[in-house]
Amino acid sequence: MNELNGNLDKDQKSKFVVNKSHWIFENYISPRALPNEQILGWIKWDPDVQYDKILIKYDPDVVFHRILNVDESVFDQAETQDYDVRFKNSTAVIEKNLIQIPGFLGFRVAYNLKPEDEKELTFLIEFIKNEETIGSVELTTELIRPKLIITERPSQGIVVNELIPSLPSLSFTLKNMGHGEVEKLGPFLDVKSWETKDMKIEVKHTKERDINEDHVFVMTTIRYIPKIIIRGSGMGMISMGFEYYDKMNNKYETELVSVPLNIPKKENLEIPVSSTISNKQTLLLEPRLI
Amino acid sequence: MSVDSVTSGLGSSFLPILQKLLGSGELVHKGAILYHKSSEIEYTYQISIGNPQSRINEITKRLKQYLTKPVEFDDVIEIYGFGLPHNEDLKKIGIIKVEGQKATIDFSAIFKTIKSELVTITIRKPFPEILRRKIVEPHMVKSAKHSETDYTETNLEIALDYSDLWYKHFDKFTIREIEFTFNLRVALDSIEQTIPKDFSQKFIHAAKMAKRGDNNALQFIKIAQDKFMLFQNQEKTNEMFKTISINPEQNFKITHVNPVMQSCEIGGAGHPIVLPGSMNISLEGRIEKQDVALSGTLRIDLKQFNRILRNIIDEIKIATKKINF
Repeated sequence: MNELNGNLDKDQKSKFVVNKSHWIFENYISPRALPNEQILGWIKWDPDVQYDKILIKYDPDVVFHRILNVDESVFDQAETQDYDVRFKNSTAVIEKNLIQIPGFLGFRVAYNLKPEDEKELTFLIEFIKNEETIGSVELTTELIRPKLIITERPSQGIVVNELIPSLPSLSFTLKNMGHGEVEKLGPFLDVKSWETKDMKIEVKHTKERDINEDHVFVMTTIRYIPKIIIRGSGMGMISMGFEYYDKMNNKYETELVSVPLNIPKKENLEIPVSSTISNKQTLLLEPRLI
Repeated sequence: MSVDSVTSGLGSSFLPILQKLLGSGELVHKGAILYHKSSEIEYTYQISIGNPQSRINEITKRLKQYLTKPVEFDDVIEIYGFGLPHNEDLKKIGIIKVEGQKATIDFSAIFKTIKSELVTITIRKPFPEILRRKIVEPHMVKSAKHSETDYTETNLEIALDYSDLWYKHFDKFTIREIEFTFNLRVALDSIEQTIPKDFSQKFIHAAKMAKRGDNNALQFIKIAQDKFMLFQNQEKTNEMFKTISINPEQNFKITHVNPVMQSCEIGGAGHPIVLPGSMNISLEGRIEKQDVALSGTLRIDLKQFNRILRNIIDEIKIATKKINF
């Protein structure tokens, strides 16, 4: 069984270190999270400890959804946008009198960007008495994502002719270097024009593969693209590669090739999406994940 | 949502009257159980009413002052009560009356007629859905920790919010039936790995020949599919149960394991075959003893899981031994 494609072989238990005081007797944080996935954390401490306030210091790209069991006025200090709460200087300040259950503080947050690489997110919780830190604890979670790299490319093209009844494909092998599970892997084709006023690029696509047409298309996860039509003049870029998602439906791309377009005078071009193979061309990108 | 609106949602409006009737310290226990999955709440009150002699003067005076008629409750799913130790059934003797979803408790009758010194009353009511979602924060970490061949493991988390409300109103509270669902994806690779190499080649060959319309190959695939469908049998499901363990056991239990069959192309052969594509696992968690946060782990023993898969492969092998294509 290979459930996840990920290789979570190292111990990913949360790390609770840094000056942790003996009176903080329990602490927890979700050991790993995808972008936009809920991260739940909490601490429990001796309710008899005297302090004035608690600070939660965190990564600026983190947004708070809730601080659990505190008076709503805690959020007065924050900028709230819809569901997301950001505190000034990435520090939430919770005065003692706003804590509703003595000896407990929890939070629910998320990281709402897609990181280029996996990284650790640390939350430093400090207890303040007379403006001095009397105790603190760090809660660290691993921000993970799937990350595909192409490990094998086809060395030769494919010629389609009447002797080959089924459509061949150009097979690529991809390896997941991240810890997030890969979902819905498929090729993508993306066309951008930089001077949209003068140049119109149309991607012809269908939901069904038309086997009577030329075997010339790129298959994406949702549609088949037989050709690109460019009208006008200007500059643009055609990119091809592989797209995939994680379990939070965050979309990622691994680029295969980008071809710049420069059409100096008005044209009306029909470009088949193809590899460079004699007269009968094909390009069915088929990714295989190892 | 304001704290006050949550408080009113707890449906504890009759408590102040009861406190006034009893005076301080006589309401010995207030407990609540929130059934998270069904969004129902069960309040339990244990009321010390003293012996009949001691009640006569003081309680009668308070009854006249605070309570002239039975207290009414709406939206009641279930209600019952007893006098202890004499086991007086409050419904049978007409102190608790139920009509449809409405119920009444005649507190004056409790004080006048019950011989026991302790009365317990339990009321089960619907719990507002919007509060349920705000009060309990269940989460299962989406990306499991995976060992190549031994196990896959993920984390379960429950934290309560607005829990000061429970603290204010109840001596003891429990949140039960906090539901988690988990989809364990069975990658095709695993099936290909579990199938002995010579037999896996036969599978791929069968798929290729089936695409060309070979009847024997189609028969081979049908037998294989029928055997894979055994995953949905009770016996196999019970075996699946044994591959899953949860920690801590006192807080989490497995309720369902359902294999989800799906059409897949094995070995890129171009002919679909129905395989157990994923296992849908449902769990329930509970928080008790006035705790407000709890974490646990769900672990699936992959060796045991693969053994179940291998047994099915062996059955396919025997059943298709004489089919050639």
